[in-house]
Amino acid sequence: MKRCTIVGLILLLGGSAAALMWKGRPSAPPLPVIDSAGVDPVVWRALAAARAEVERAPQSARAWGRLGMVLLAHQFRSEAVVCLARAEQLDPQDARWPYYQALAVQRADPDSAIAYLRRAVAAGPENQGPRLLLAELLLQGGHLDEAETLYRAVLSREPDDSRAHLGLAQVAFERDDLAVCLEHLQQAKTDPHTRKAAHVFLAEVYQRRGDRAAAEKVLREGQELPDDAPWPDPLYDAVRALAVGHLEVITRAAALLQEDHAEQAVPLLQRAAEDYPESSWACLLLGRAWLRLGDFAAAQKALREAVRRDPHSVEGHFYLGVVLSEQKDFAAAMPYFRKTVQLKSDHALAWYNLGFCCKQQGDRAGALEAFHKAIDCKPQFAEAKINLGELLIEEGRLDAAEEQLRQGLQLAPQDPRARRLLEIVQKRRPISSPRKQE
Amino acid sequence: MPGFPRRLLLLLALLGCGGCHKPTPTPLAGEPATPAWFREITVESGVDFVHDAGPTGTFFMPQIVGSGAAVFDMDGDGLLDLYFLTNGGPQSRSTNRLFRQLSSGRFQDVSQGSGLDIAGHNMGVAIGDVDNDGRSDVLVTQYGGLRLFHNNGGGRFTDITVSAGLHSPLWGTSAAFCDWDRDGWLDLVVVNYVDYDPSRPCSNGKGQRDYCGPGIFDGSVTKLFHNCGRAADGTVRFEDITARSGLAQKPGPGLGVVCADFDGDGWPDIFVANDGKPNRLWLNQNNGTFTEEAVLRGLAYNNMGQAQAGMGVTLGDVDGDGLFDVFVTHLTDETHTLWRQGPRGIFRDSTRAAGLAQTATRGTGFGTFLGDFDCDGRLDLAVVNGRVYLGEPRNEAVLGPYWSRFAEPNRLWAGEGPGRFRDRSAADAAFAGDGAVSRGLVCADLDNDGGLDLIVTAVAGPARLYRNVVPRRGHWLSVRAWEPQLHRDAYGAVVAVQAGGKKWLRWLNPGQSYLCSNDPRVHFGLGEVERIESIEVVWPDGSREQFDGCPVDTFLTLSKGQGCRLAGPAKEAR
Repeated sequence: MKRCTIVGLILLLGGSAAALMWKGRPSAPPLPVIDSAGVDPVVWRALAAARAEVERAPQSARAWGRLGMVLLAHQFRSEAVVCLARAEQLDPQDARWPYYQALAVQRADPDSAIAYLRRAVAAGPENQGPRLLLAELLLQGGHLDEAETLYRAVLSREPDDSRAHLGLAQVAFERDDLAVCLEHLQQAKTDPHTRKAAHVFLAEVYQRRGDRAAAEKVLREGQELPDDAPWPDPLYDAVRALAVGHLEVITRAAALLQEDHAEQAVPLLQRAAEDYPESSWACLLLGRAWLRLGDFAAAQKALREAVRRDPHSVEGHFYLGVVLSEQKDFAAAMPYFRKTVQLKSDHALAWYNLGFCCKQQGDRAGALEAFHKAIDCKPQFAEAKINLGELLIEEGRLDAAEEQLRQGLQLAPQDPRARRLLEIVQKRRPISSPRKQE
Repeated sequence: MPGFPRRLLLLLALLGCGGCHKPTPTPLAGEPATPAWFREITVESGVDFVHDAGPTGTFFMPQIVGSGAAVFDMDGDGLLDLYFLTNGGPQSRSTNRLFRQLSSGRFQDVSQGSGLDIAGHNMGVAIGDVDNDGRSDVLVTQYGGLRLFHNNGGGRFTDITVSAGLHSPLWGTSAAFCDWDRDGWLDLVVVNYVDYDPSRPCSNGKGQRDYCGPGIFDGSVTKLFHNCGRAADGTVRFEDITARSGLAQKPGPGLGVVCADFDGDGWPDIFVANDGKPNRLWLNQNNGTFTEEAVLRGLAYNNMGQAQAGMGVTLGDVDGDGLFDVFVTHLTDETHTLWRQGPRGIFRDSTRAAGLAQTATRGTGFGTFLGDFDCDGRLDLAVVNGRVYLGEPRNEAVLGPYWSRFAEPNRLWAGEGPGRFRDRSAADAAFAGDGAVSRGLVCADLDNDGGLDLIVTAVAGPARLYRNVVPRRGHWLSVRAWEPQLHRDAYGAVVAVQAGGKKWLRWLNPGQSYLCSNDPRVHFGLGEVERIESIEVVWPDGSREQFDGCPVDTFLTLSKGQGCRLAGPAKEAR
């Protein structure tokens, strides 16, 4: 009897404690209300699916976190923070949740982002992404010592981490310690993720030290480099991977085209052209992808569809002209270039292509006018200047030709054609010409 | 307070009460803790200009860039007049409007028949006397064009764009006149934005239609037109030297511009604020060409090595070291940036140290001006804001459901000492309160009372005038630097005032802020100084002259050749 009483009491106390603990748990926030006005239906479906998961498992950190990630991927930042905060409440050990909250607010509210990042670093010390971002925000806020400590912590694990070296260079620059700044920049100037930024920074530091020659040299080198590659961040990549919708497809396809992977872009764009029957842009990119792959018939078909969907599509008309030009059908291409400049009178490339077609058709006056227009729209258009220069030579207008060719050469110093044409001008010019005497 | 003896209440008040908080003066509800610096006077001024941005919902990008305004004395009566630009398109019935200031201080609409009442996608305006006839001419930039208007006098203007040889099909934004070759004729710099394709739809990550950002289009070049001077028939002619001068080599999405001597060699250079790309600093090589040195001089990026969304730009010596500093406005998600100069020709991002990096004071800034609004001898700072992408609605009752999603409040900072500022927006509800889609900011002493007034333009909203009502303003001096041989203001002159052991410098060129042209006079706040000891002017040709001191609180016209010429040009090694 006595034992039963004791067991009963223990059970009662345990039950009460459990009830109290349950009651003490933070209550679940209501799911954020999302305004559906104008939202891409594909995005909306992705949100609805993630939301349904939370409704099914309201105590699941993973479900709340995923909804937060889907929201973040589609720029619902304040709504994302609500869900990610709930995920963090449910699983404080997962560094992703405070990190994603930091990503959601870092531009608009860096002070709050710093607080989130401190928690992310504490929860997942193995993740360098949150630590580096925290260091950068602290540096931006003028907390140099703390930023330096974080960068050094990164370097203690990864001595060659160029982002940390770039950050330490900035810390040193803020302290006017240009020697240390240079040391770190030397470490960052070869990594494809930081090399361009490091070159530009080096140029500024050399100039500040009075070494003009070194500054100019490193700046020239930097200008030759491609843009720095984005810093790898597996945590953020997981969010990016959840992005769907028209903008996402178009952006991804355009990037594939840029990287010369047209064959990968085609299926994406075919699907997008079906999913978004009003999207002229999907058809336009599809046409460009087929053009890149050399399938002119498919390109024309896609581009005609682009123009059908949007009769004012500037690029749709322009690329139809390009497809026909590529097939040497200059006469057929010209109306499309004309239509392009009718829709957008400052379309330099369309004027240039029109000039080229005119030239091919033997219409020298038309070509001259079109090349002039191309330069008018784009004064930095070296190729147009060189073509115009060539035509002017044929016209016997040597002074005007020389002016265009010199400017073309100034813009494209390595262009062999411009040099050759300039030599022709100089050979044809009478020896007594004043310009020659100079 | 029924039932509570009034006498007892008084007694308690006199005794105070132990343990209570020390009484602090608290403003009454609605009364600002510190007096406002500006009072809106739009209605009483007679200015009833409302900007036309064209139809909503088209997301036509030039719409969100807005339009500017100018102050200038169009008729030589000593009073500043106003010119406002509109953006309804060439077929719109709304036109730019010209307001003449009357002796009463009110403004009268004199647009009709002036020649300046044009429709179009009008963006920026620059003021300068292009033919040195003593009257200020007007240059308007447009989406797809340029227009130059000759001032015939009597409030009449003639479009001389074609005869002057000016032509550009690009999307022009800010523009400025400066005599870069020091030949006495004002040359023209026109900043161009991007190669915009109106048929390209843009959306945000949610899939909602929105205005395009500049990043998806190629940037344009800044155009430079050389003023060849007045021909025998009296016409003025410009030559497009963009390519020859080197400016064609580095295009960018340009929005703001200012011309000044950035490297201390005495020749005007050109700074262009780019939107989302590195800024450009075109240094004058004194031989008809320019080299770009923004990176080397520290002006291309902020202190984190980031290219920001540069919009408006203003110059001023914020720390009193005799060198001008540069302030550029940016997006809400960024900080605006103050680059302090020092040593000469080298700039460093000093935004944080200046107290200008607080998150709470952010906004998508456009027009901006560094001026001494309270005349305490320290430069203050004004910024007007308005989003470029959809956001949460603000001031919806006034702006409606569409434009309220782009509205933001303006900001005002008080200069606090060498290079530091304090946000005082809360005290200036008239200027910085409700929020609008503001774009242009013009600074001028409209009523000639020695205090700098402000004029703000907004997308699809009324232009607003704010009178400077700072109580107990300090002493001041307003200087017009005049070149009698050229019959015009000495654009590019540097005016230095020496008084009370201090020295203040101003750089004369009305072309700064964003899409706007400001008061052509330079204004000095002098604090408690009661007499000017001397004034030195470095004229645009590099010569220096010293002028005698004078009493404070006065307008002064300093004519070249009437002062005491100083030896040696104000030229320093590059």
